[in-house]
Amino acid sequence: MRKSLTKKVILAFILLFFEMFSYACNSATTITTLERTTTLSTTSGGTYTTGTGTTTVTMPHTTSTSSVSPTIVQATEISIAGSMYVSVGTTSNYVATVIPDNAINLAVEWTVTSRGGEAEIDATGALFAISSGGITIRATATNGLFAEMNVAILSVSIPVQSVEISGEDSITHGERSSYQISVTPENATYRNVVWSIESGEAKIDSNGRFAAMTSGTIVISVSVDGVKATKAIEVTPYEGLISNVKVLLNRVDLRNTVLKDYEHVFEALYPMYNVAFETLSDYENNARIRLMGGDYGDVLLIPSSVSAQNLSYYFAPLGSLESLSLSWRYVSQKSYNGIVYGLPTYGNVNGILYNKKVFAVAGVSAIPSSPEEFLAAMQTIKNYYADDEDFLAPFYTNKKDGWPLDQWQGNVSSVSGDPNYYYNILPQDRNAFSPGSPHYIVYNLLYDLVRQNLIEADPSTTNWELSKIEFVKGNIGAMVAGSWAVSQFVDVATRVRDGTFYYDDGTPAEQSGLADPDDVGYMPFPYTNSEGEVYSAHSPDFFIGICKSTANMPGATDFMMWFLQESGYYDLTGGIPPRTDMPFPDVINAFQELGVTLFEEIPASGAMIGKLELVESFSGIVLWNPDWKNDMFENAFYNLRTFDQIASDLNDAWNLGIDLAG
Amino acid sequence: MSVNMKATKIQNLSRLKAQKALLIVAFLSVPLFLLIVFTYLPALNMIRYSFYRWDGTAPTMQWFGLKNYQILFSNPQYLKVMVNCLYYLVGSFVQLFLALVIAFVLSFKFRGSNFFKGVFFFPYLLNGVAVALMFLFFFQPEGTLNTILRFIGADNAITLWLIKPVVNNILLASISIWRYIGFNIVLFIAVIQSISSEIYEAAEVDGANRSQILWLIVLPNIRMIVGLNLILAVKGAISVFEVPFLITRGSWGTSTFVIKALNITFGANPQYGLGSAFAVVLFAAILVITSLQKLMIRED
Repeated sequence: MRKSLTKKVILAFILLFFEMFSYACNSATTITTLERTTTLSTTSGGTYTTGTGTTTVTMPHTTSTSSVSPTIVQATEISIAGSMYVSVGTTSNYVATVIPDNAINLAVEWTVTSRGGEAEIDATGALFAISSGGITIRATATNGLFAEMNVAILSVSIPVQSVEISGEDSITHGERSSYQISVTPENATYRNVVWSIESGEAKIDSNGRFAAMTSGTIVISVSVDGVKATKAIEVTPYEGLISNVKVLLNRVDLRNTVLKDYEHVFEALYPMYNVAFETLSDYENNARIRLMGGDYGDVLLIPSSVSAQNLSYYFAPLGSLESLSLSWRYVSQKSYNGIVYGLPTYGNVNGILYNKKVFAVAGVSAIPSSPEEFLAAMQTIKNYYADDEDFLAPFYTNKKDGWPLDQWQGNVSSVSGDPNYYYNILPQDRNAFSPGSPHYIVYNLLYDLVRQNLIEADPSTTNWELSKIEFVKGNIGAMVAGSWAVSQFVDVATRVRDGTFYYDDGTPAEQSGLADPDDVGYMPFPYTNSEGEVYSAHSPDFFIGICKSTANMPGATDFMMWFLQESGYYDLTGGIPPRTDMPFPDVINAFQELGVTLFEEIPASGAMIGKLELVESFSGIVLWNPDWKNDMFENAFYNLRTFDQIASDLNDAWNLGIDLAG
Repeated sequence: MSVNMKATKIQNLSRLKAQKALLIVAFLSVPLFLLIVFTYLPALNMIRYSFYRWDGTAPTMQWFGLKNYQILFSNPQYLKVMVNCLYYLVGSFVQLFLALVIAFVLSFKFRGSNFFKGVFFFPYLLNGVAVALMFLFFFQPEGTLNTILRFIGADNAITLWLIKPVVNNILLASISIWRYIGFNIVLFIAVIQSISSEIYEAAEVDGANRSQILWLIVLPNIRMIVGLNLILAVKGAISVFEVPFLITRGSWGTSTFVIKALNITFGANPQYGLGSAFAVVLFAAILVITSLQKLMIRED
């Protein structure tokens, strides 16, 4: 009896053990995170629905169903706002407005056709009337929508006597309203219409579209060629339901400053939402864990390790690639099967940060356009500062942290000069590291810099934050980083100059006033190809996506749209704005002035999808991991191997990877 | 005794035994459950993962067979990592040898022996991160070691210690020795002192000197404990992580198994399958080495 009881207990344990093991096996084969019920449905007019059918998986814990249809509102028509009468010899401004109000703004092309009169119109909608008669102006959007307006050019100018604003007198906070003008006399030839907020907190755009930011009385005013009119709008407080929007971001450093501002502004414009930011350090890894766990907020940055074919498991579809790529940059990189799952926050170019003053003072007059010229420039700087004890290095690698060496990888695409190279050719390029290949050219420069001792004296104790300060103070000549770094360095330079820079522990940096934000320069990677061309690839930073099972799709969409287009986030980082109709920032315009051709990389297609990652695994060379670059650096530092030997080994490993990847 | 009384006595005994069994099971169930759920299951799952390819976000894993192991053994950079472990392995043998000698010396109660026991044991209590930061500061270019060398005038011995090719691995292994030797010393002292004093007296009567006592009496008696410590030291040597990670991040040729696995699994292009294969190889290596050690120590 006693023996069999103990035996029974032991047996029970063994069975329990196997049961748990088999459960783990069964559930582990399909790594489902949370299982949820989602059904596709069409929402109200103006929304764009793309669907791949219903996906149903049971959700054990909640009963809410969320609509998976993308709610990014696309414009269904556009209309033109401006005067119907203009006088000869004057310039009048026209604005294209999209309908419905909350649709994505479209860039339009303006054309004029004559019906007797003559006029010219430029890209901004400024019409110059040449001779009297009738004309038709036409605004055509990139997706084909267009609107036309008949304008009469009069030989005399009829001034505006008075203006009246018409539109809603009273709205609820959070509602949007539109205002129009009517002028007296009817055929007044006016040129400019400027809307502004007279009193109260609100926003009004050039189309007369109004958004209140507080409740109470807000007075808007319009000035038509100087003739003003005002209108008081009663904004009643919002008393409806407030839903939550949770946003995951990576900028821990902005959590208490910029993000708090964003919270206030967004909630003022959209009082029906309560937005909560959560910032994650080491975003890639932590966000990946959140994805696996099923709790990843409503709106989040898409971790770059999620491959294209898996996007649909975590993120809501936002629209078709065909239509969204007309208005948004880079979206092909987060699309699969013609559907887009993420919109870019901003884009970067790659190149080299350099201190303009250091270069000028040392006598480097021209921006180097080849690796040899760059090395010569570094040597010139080194000779000039040879006796300067404070000077750290002509070129600072920041090797210790690992990721600064990874920044070199961003230049490979640029050097290749081919938008198709990185994702479609490289995975099968048997000469990926041979002499003359983009990788060879880029990393040969790094090797030579180390070999010729043009770098910091001790690359094992570098510090990124300190290097920023030393750079702006003129103790470093150049560093490799993406263009996202420019705004950070300019910010540090400004604060050091103004004496408001503090280290993390609260101690102030030495105030010298010797830092000047204008000294922060950015140049393309020094390589001119055999045809005399210099290229630079521009590529997206993080993308924003909406959680597939979010309970608040309208809130998530509104936030995403506001964040990408109106918050000014891309200005903060000096990045390329996400919409195709928004211009490049100065840093990148400077590139184009140097004669650099910019291009956007083409993502992997067809058989190449996922191929690069596969070859990386099999070859052991993960391109954005610093391990192999560290090895190269260390071999250079101790002169253990020549660059050709290193490149040859890398090439062999890459070929092995191609072979094994099949 | 009558038959009835005997029967009740047997019944009582069996009830007692049943209660005892139940008690034991009840007390063991919780730790056993925790052990299975948090140690055995994950370990078995990890072995499973090593046969798949998974990037951490894909909803399904892709069967990969032995390819992860193929990648592991065909790439020279991964094999180099295994070579680095030799430094720590040799270090662990040195550590045990030194621990034995010091423990033997300290086992004789002389004035100050307790103080030295404390001094040797103290590093074991320190947190790994604190130790790493301490030694990072010690070996930095303007750190303690170079300052001392400059002070005593040995200027030409000053180098960048942490990035010198072979020297940095030896220094890191020495840090490990410094950390763990105290634990071994204290353990050995306890075991040495547990040998009955009669044997010592007999040996003294026979005229044995100190080293003979060490070799012929102490060692054979503490063979089991030495064996256990050897296994622990080897396991520690192969799976060393904090100290090299915090001091050099695994660069300059100091990468270890665990650091490499970490970089594979949590870097760009994360590969959980390959990282798991790494861990499985690590596990297998420990098993192989400890079985070899057991074979060598067992002399009968």
